[in-house]
Amino acid sequence: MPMKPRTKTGNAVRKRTAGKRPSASKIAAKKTVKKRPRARRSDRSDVLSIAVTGSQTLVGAGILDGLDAVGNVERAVVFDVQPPDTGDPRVVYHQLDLTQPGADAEMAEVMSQHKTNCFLHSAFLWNTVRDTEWAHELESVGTDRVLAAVVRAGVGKLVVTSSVSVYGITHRNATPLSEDAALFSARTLPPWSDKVDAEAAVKRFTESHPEVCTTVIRSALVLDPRVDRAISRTLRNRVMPSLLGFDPLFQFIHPHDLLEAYRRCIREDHPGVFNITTEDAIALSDIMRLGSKVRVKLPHVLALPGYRLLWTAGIGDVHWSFLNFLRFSLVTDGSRARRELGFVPERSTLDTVLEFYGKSLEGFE
Amino acid sequence: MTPRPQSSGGPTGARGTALVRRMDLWGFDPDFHRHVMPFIGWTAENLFKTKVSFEGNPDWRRPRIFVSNHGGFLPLDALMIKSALDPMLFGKPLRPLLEDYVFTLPYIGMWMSRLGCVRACQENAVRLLAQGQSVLAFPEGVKGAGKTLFEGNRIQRFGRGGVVRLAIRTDVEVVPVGITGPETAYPVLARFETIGKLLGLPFLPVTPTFPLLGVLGLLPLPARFSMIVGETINLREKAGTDSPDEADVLRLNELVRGRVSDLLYRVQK
Repeated sequence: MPMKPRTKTGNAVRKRTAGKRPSASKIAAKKTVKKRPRARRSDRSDVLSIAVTGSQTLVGAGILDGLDAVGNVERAVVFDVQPPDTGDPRVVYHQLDLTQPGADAEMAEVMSQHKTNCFLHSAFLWNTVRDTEWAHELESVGTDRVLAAVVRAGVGKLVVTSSVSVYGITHRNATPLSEDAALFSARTLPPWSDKVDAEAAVKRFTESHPEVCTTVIRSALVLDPRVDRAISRTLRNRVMPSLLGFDPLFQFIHPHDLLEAYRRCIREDHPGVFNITTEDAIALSDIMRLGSKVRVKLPHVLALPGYRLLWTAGIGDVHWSFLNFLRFSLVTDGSRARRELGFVPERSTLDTVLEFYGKSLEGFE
Repeated sequence: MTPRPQSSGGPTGARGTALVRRMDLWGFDPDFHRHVMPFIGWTAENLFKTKVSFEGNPDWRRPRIFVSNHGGFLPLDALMIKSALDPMLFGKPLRPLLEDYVFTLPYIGMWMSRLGCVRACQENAVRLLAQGQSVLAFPEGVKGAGKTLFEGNRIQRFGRGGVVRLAIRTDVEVVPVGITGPETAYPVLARFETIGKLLGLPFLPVTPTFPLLGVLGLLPLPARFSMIVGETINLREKAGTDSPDEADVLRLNELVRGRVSDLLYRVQK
């Protein structure tokens, strides 16, 4: 396994701490001198000035496209390598690469200028990439930089994008999984390990910075024909693979519902981790039946090593570990979001699947 | 294809259609259960000649935690107990809590889920009991499933008291069950742990027919099942607290194990 690159930030920290260890009194004096800016909190009556990373993702683009639905947004600063596809005059684009050292200071400076009071961090990858070094820099180290920028700029609220896939796909999962469940992703879905790292960093940040209202949204799988994700592509194909003797359950969230959950968390203060999911689940065989798919059943003892071999040989664009989605169910519990956010999705998983296939229940009932 | 109309509403809130089965979040399929359980009941009665006797008054309107000894690589005992108790649970089918490995087996894991079996863990049990459903626990776990023919019906350690903690936490009464038969239906002659682990299983069993006959070797051998369902035990009352210490848990765990062991001894006579 290739070693993860050491960041310049990491080296700098080592250099600073390499010398003589300062005394406790000196550290205390330093702490009193170097005061952090007071965290700017937003409440419902306040004007929102938000910063967004990942403006090309479903969440980032969705929020920027519907700023009026979010609340009284005065300014939306976008940090990205590409400008967002929106003509809203309130959106200010600042070209920035999260993988580059110094991005945190740059973001903090821009956010201080715009008096940003809410940060939406959605710069995560939702399709597997072969460049794992870059993915690590973007997701894991990039999140560290976002957290540093939030503290430096005194931003009062942080909303972080995540997915229920961080729980991992394993037969050891409880059903349904609550937000307190252990994250197995690093072992069962290696490409998601950087997201687990990012969540761990956010958790540490939440403990050390209680003054910042930090929300993590773990969304169920998003299914929409316009969203380019492996699951959407797989379910669009005429022929679909499945594993012999397995029929896992799936939960899908509609983008409309997911964005509503994000808007609620940006507008109101809801610290904590929330599963954003539906109350129902559908078996894979039912999804295939709804989509009139031709089902190809493969024995898992051959399919898993075979697909792993193909992935290693550079064939295919979906990591081999995602075959576990066809083997075990990933069902999560959204009751905390219902209780604390007051969020109830308008569409069930069945509705989302029917809409995906352009079908309606009317014909069947 | 002309879709058939079907009743709407399901345990998960999903609307039922001719194309979508009503399942709960554990994969329990009421339609599959309704069609398959009569067949399992028939095999219990005619093939395995299952004898069931009860002690005390089996009034199980409220959910209960049934605790049984365990044997056999495949959880045939869970199905035999389920077929005997389901008619007495007021329309709420018994939910056996099974070892993790069962759900990694193709077809078997899927069918077990559809019949209402779930993975054995506190979260699942608490949630099912809160929904008013009775659960069946096998505290011996893998040690019970891996008992060889030469070890007989000796009851293994009852875990670390998970069932006791569950019963006290949820204030649900425990019903001990003693069962014989699974160890002769799947007589384990030897178990290979290293090969099993390579296959993602706790061990690979060797029976007179498996792996010799391949998949056919997974069919149970003719065996007679007998079970006694004991009187209920109120563990919270016995503990005198809703937050027992470790010593209390271990003491009560031994008490439950003793009751199951006693029933097993009587059922063997």
